[in-house]
Order: sequence, then structure tokens, then C-alpha cells
Amino acid sequence: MPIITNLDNILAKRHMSLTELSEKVDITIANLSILKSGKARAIRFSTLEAICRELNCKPGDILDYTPDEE
Amino acid sequence: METQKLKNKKIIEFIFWILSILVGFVGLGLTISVVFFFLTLFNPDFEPFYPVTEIPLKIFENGILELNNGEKYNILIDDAYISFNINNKYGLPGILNLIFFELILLITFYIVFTLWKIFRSIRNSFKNDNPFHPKNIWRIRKIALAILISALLNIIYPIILKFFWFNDVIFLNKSFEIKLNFDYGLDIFWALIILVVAEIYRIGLEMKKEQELTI
Repeated sequence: MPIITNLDNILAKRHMSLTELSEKVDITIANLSILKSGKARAIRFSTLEAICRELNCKPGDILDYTPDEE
Repeated sequence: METQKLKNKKIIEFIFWILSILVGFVGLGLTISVVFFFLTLFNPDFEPFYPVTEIPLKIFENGILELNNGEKYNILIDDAYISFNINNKYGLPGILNLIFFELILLITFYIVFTLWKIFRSIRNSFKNDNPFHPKNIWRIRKIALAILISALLNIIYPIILKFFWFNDVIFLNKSFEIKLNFDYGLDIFWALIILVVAEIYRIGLEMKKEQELTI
């Protein structure tokens, strides 16, 4: 998938665990794990907003685009 | 929204219990017919009350239709189905007729039982709010296939009877020719509709998966 997530990098920089983030944004650990592992197919703006708010970052810090090699 | 969910749950529950009773009845009928099948096979003197065959006849007879109010009208009867009892005393046609009857009953039981499994999985899925179970797609397709097979059997069977075994049917001092009947061709249309339903269900399952992977 061309869109990749850098959630684990940001969490490490902020010294926050996935469990702490899930409690703060009210999203289950299972769903955050799906996002972190790159298996997510889509993310709601409300979810992105909540994550950016808690991690004090921009959406571009969490999401990146790498085109598929042909 | 919650009231609608509750209503849907009650409807599914109701259909599930109707199907449960139907499965019981058809299963019982199938078991009894199999017992009679073997009794007939091994004891030629045994006369069961079925199987019977529905044979379409070429009829072109004048008749009178009497209404409830006493009025009478002349009519022309141009189609009729007759049923009678055949067992293995009639040789191979008798045995094949028994097999045909058992096949139709088996297909009916399979359809009702598969429908029951589908509704059971939908009923059990209400806890997860997800009625889309992958196995149900194939179950719906199998119901369509069973209906198709049943329709083909019902079309082919009179053809076999007419061209290989039976000549005419004589009753009321008249001889009637067996007619080919393609009415069951309509069941092929229903099978196609059910295949479309299976596709819609498959799309629903994909959308549900997409939704689950939307964070």
C-alpha cells in the first residue's frame, strides 16, 4: 500500500505507548495496532484529529506516501 | 435506530423459528420416505401412499365450471396433472420414480436446512452487529444451485417418462398423451435471482471488512 504510517516513530519520540494513546483518543488498541501495522484501509478525519491532538503533531508526521515500484 | 435494530432482531428470530419447525417437518418426511423406499424395494407387496408422480397430460376436453353462487359456465380444459402410485412392481420405472421422488425431497430438505443455517448465523451475529458471514455467500449460492438442479430434474423427468417408458394414460375410457412441461423453467429464473442476492451479500461482506479496517 503506498500510504504508510509512522505511528510507532512518533510514539517513540513522544515516549508514549500504544496503550496510553488508545486511552487518550478512545480508540481500541486493536484498531490502533491495525493502523500501526499498515493494515488499515482508511482513517476517519476525526480519528486523525484525535491522534494528532494527543501526539502534538501534524497528519504528515503520521502518514507518508511511497509510490508502488512498477 | 435501536428500536429498528430490535425489530430486525425479532423478525430474524421469528423467521429462524419458522425455519426450525420446517426443517423438522421436512426432515421427518424425508426419513419416513426413505424408510418406505427401502420397504418398497425389498417387499413388493408393500403399498406405500407415495411416491406419486405428477404427470402433465395433453387434455382437450369440454367441461363445466360451477361457481359458488350456482352459475355455470362452459369451459375448455387444456391442461392437467395426474398423480398415481408407482412402486417397484412396475420394474425399473418404479425404482427410478422412487429415486426421483427421494431426490426432490432431499433437495427440498437441503434448501430448507441451508436457509436455516444462514438465519442461524445471522441471528448469532447480532451480538457483533455483523450479519455478513463469509460462509453464507456459498450457502446462498448452493441454494441457487439446488433450485437449478431441482428445476432441471423436473423438466427432464417427464421427457424420460414420455420417450422411454410410458405411452398414454387411459382413464374415464379415454386415452391421454403425456405432455412435456417446461413450467419449471421459471425456477431457473429464481435461481438466477438468488445468485444475484449472493453477489449483493458478498459486496456487503467486503464493505463490512472495509469498514472494520477503517480506523
